[in-house]
Amino acid sequence: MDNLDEADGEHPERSGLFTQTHWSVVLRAKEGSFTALDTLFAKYRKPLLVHVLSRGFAPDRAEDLVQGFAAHLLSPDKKPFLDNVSQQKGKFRTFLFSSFDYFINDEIAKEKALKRGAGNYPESLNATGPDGQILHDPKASTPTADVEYDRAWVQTIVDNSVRLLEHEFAARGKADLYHAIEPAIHDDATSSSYRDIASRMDMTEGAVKAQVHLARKRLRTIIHQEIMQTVNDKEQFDDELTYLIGLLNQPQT
Amino acid sequence: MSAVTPNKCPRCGTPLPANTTHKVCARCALADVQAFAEQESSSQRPDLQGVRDTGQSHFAGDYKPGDTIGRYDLREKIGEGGSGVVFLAEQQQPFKRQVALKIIKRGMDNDKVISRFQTELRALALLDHSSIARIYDAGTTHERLPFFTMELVRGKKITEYCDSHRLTVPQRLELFVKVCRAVQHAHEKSFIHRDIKPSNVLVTEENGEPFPKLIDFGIAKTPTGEQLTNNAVNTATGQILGTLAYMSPEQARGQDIDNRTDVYSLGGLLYELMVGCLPLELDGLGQYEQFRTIIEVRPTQLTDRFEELPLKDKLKITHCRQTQIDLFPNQLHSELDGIVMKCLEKNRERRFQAASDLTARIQQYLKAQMNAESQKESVLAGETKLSRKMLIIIKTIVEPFWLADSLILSASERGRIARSKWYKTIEGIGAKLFLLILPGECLNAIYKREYPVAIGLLFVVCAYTYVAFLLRKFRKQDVAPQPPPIEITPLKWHEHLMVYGMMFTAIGIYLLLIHLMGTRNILGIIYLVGAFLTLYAALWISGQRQLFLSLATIIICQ
Repeated sequence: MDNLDEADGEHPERSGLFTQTHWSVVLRAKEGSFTALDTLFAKYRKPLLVHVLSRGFAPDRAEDLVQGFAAHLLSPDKKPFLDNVSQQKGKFRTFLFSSFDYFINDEIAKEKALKRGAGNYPESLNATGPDGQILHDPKASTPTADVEYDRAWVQTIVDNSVRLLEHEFAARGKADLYHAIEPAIHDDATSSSYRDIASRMDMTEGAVKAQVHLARKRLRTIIHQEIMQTVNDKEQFDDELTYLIGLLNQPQT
Repeated sequence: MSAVTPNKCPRCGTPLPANTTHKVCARCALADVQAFAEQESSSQRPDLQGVRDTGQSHFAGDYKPGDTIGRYDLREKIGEGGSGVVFLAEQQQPFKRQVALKIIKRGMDNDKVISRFQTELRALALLDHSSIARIYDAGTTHERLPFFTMELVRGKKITEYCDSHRLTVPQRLELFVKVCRAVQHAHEKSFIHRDIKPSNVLVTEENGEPFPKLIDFGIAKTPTGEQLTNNAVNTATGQILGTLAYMSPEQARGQDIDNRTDVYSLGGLLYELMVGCLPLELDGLGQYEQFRTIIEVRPTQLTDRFEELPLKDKLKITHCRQTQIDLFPNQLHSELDGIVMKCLEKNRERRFQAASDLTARIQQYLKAQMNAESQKESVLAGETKLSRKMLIIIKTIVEPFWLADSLILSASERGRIARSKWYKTIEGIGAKLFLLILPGECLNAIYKREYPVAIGLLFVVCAYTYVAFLLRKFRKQDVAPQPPPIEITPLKWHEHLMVYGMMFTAIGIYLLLIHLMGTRNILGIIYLVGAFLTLYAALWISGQRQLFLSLATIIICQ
């Protein structure tokens, strides 16, 4: 399922001129540059999938819907939707959620209409707003309607970050090192495990500890950036971080 | 170390999701991130100036009136910006005085910012200009938040001041020039303001004259490197700092900045002072769109911008500039437009290269405007020794009597008064003269937009012509039984033409002379006087002395 393989060293979010939030990627899509948007969707596919499944769709239908959503946003005739997106006052996570939810509702409605034989594109059944307006309501509370989506979102963020870290090591030719120290990065390894790694990698224990420390620091920064890309300012960032941690504190249903 | 993926995180015990390929506990990872962020902001930092702290601790750096920071008592909050909050504070030691105290917001207080802040403060002490708010002191709070105190400026934002005092366009330009001078002073001391906008240019009054003061000189805006690089976007956190409205294209691009960046901002300020709105419409756009606009979109010309506004706004803007909607666009000359646009060039090589260039250009413009105004006035003055309108009224009243009188006299007194050659010629030519002058006056009145006068004159001309015709017919009928009138050589038609031509020329020359006297064009005056005298001499020699006298009379009356 995790077939995300960004090209080594090529992170569309990091290059370029401006603040590289996801908003900028979406907005660039308005101009017709869809590659970054595509990558973006691939990145957050998991939470979308989780959400679809939680709405009771079968797995293959769920896949279709996620693909359909990406295609829906990437198709040129959906420009009006992207035009609305310029009002970015919310978090990307919630924005993605509400627009995807809206899309699903649309699809359901379409199917129902077809079954009825109406053949026309139906009125939206989504009570949140007039047709085409899928903006995140900034006054809405942080959790989305689907806590599972949020949980999957958090996990995706962390997974993506770890993957990025791995890529960074690999780009430097230190893939082996990464795999060796990976367990140590995530939990406090005992000194014996450091010794094991050191002997395996033909490094001193101190060198291993240093590498682990650096890797941990780097991971923190990556996660920080990953979350930062989905919000607009520091305040929102703090808010989001607190929420996401709180989410994980709750017992999983 | 187990080779099997544990089901629970060894650190926090949270069950790990089954479908993760990484042995990562999301909770731990995020908790790390949070802890890391907190740790950064509370790490040890050297105290800046050894200011005595009171030991009060505050959460999230939220200071409020009534608090004390070092030797300053906070009295009231007077402003808040992207990087900090400004308070009105009272200094307690070594003497009491009121100052403005700006404290950096939490989140901006990392090592890089602090050290840069320190360097800048020391350099700022070198700025000594009446139009720049002075820095008094600096320090850190108990929480290691940096702050500084500066001259308290009680004034209005420049845009508000200009509007509330209804300053005219030239007055605004003069005020703006004062601002430019302050900026130039800073540039000469290698200081770039970076954030010139109306809220940083306050205007006070001294001796009834508006006096601008520049505040907030680029202190602690962003973490930067050693060079004067400036990202108004904090690339580490992706945060936008401050308003983008006055941001230059190079700032938006994240390039290094120099004094021309300030020139750009000055251009934005000037634009707003002229037409009351920003050069670029950024409202309602997302971050990306705003940057794109700053970098790519050319601002609309001043006059066009004004035209586009709704009527309500136009009324407000013209009211605040003591002008009217139809007159205002004339004040936004293309030259002024050119100055503003040059400041706002996307390519900084094409802008004014220094604030002093901008100053010089504006002053040049103002001077030219004043000259044009005084020229207009002197031309008017030169042309009217008597009030112009009075003259026209007198002529309009006097002429018909003289004309009618002479014509009727010739008709009724034909038998008794042997009309002299002199008289008849005067009468004939006098009538023609006045008929010729009047259209000239009429055209003149039209040119000066004195339409009622023009219409009146036109009416008079037509009336005269008609009366003259009628009377002439009369005269012809009555002439027959008379003794033959004294022989006067009537002018032939081409001679008529020549006479009229000369008259037109003479009067035209005279008028031109008046205009030239107004513009003090000595050479032109000499030339025209010469031409005039030659014309007179020609008339005298050719025997048209009556003409000469009539012309003289008219000119004297002028």
